[in-house]
Amino acid sequence: MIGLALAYLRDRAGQTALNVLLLALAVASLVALLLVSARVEDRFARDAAGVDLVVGAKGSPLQLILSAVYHLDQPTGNVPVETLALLRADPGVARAIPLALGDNFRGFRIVGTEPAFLALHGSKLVEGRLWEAPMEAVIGAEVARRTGARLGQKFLGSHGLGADEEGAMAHDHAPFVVTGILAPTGTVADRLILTSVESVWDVHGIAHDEAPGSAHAHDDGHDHGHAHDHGHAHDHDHAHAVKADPAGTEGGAASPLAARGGPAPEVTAVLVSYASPAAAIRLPAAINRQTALQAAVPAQETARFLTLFDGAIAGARALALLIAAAAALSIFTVLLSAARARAGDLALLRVMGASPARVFGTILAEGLLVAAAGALLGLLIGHAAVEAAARAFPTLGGIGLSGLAFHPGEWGILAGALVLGALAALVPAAAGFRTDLAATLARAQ
Amino acid sequence: MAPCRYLIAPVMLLEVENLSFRHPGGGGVGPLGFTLAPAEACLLLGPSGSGKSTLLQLVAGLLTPETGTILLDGEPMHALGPAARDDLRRRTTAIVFQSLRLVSAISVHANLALARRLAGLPPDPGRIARLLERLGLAPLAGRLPRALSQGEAQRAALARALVTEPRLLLADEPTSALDDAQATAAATLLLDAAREAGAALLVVTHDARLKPLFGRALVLGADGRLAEDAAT
Repeated sequence: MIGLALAYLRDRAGQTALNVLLLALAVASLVALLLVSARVEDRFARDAAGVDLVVGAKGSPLQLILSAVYHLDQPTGNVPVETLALLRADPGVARAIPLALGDNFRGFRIVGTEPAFLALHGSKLVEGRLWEAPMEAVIGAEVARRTGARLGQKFLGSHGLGADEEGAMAHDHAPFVVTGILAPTGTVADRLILTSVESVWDVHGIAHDEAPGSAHAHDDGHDHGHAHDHGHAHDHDHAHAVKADPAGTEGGAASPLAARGGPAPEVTAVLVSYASPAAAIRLPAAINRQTALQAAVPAQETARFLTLFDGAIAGARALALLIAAAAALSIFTVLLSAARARAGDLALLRVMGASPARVFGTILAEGLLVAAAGALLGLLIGHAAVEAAARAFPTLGGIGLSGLAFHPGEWGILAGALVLGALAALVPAAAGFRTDLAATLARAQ
Repeated sequence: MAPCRYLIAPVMLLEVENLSFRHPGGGGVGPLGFTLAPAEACLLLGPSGSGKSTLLQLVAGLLTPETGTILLDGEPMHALGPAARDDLRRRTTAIVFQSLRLVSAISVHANLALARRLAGLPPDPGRIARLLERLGLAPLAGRLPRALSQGEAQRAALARALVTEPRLLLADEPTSALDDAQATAAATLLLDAAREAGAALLVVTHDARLKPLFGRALVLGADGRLAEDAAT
């Protein structure tokens, strides 16, 4: 009966094509929405994995999370480097990773941090080694792919966090050298250039004694001899890890190095992992009581951030479902009128020996075939649209969106489309099933 | 009731006794009775409204009689349930209608193949090809029914009926709207094809022009009763 159903569909090819296209549009919309929202949620979850708390300067907690975890927004400010040591000394903290932001290379953020940052994102080197000496850097997989940077290659960072920042100036006195390239992880690490916090300070002429976060920070009078003025004004309104703070007052406690009159060493944020569940209750409150620090929980802020899109996603989903309903209605109308128009055909089939169930099955098969064709075409269009969007918009490509990925939820969309086709065909099929053979034949003659 | 099967083949292919049926809105047929031998050709004549088509539908098992019996190939058609009646018709009978000739969405050849499949017969491309050739339809085998002329469609409908190797061929008004020459040609084709296939033929018509072509004619009166059963 499939062959006969196909023949009837071919016989009214225009209407069939229209129904298939209508359903395909609905399925494509739902698939694209599913792929994008699932990718965004997955990416957000993976980027924030292992980070229980972010400590940074006072401001918007969402902004702090977006800047320090997802590297999407400007930081809220900086905190004194001593904050890191204080956090590490807390028994509730299992891990504290500093981040020093401020510069970029062709739009890819240069992040001063520690090797533990790589472990956080499961990053592994595919080439070279980690940074060891000042001004050495490791680049993420996407950075390597997009910039074509290779091991040993030197590059200059530019002031600011985006490639298109107004008034951005290159730090031409302090080139970085690529010592390692990371394997792709599907996380934000792919888009970052990682170096030591000291290198970030060095680029900006900030005198420092030793690695940040030491519990025994002291001034031994050694300033590495490369504090310098790099000849441009820091007049951006965004926060900057190396913003001059001669008084050493920003971020609370004054840095011992501030007494020298130069900018004090600061970090932009600290990524914290708890040692125990109890820390989740005590630590954020304790930090937020301090005047210059704030603690933000990625899980909470991300959930809050994603709710901003809930309305838009729900609206788009409702529109897609509306199109699907229109498609079902159209299939229903076409099948019903077709069943009526070919009542004679159906009666002839019955006379030729087709059982009522077979006639029912033929009409049902027509609905299912239209639905299957619409669903498959919709899958193709949806994936093609996602792939095109990922290529056209770097932000979408950057979160790992790909038209080649398949989400298990698509099985649900496929099944839904088939159920819709079957439901739309049910009434016309029942009409065919209940055909009064004698009356139909009498009318047809 | 289970179909009654004879150990020895019945003498008559069709035995109708005391058969009657009334439509809810008026009109009907019977009571009447007649028999039809295997491979016999018979004309069923009568004016409009005499119940000819109703009788054909009763014999084909498309209607359930109010009274009387119908034995088709020894099986009591009148006593069977709808599914068993469909099965008996599928195995024994083919019908050629005046206007419902072929399934509209598939080609002439596909119609014949489908008819065999629905009749529960194995595919037989050779038989289909021979039948199309015999009825002058070979060049039209790939055409859709709507691309056929009136005469071609009528021959295709006959091919569709004969391809199921029926024991009883029923034809409802096969010559209405045809001129004398066309009517004679169509009836001759039916008779020849049924004879070659070894099928009994019952042609329902109001067209008295066909009477000389048939060896026997049943004539229904305006009251739905059998007015005449005579050799012509």
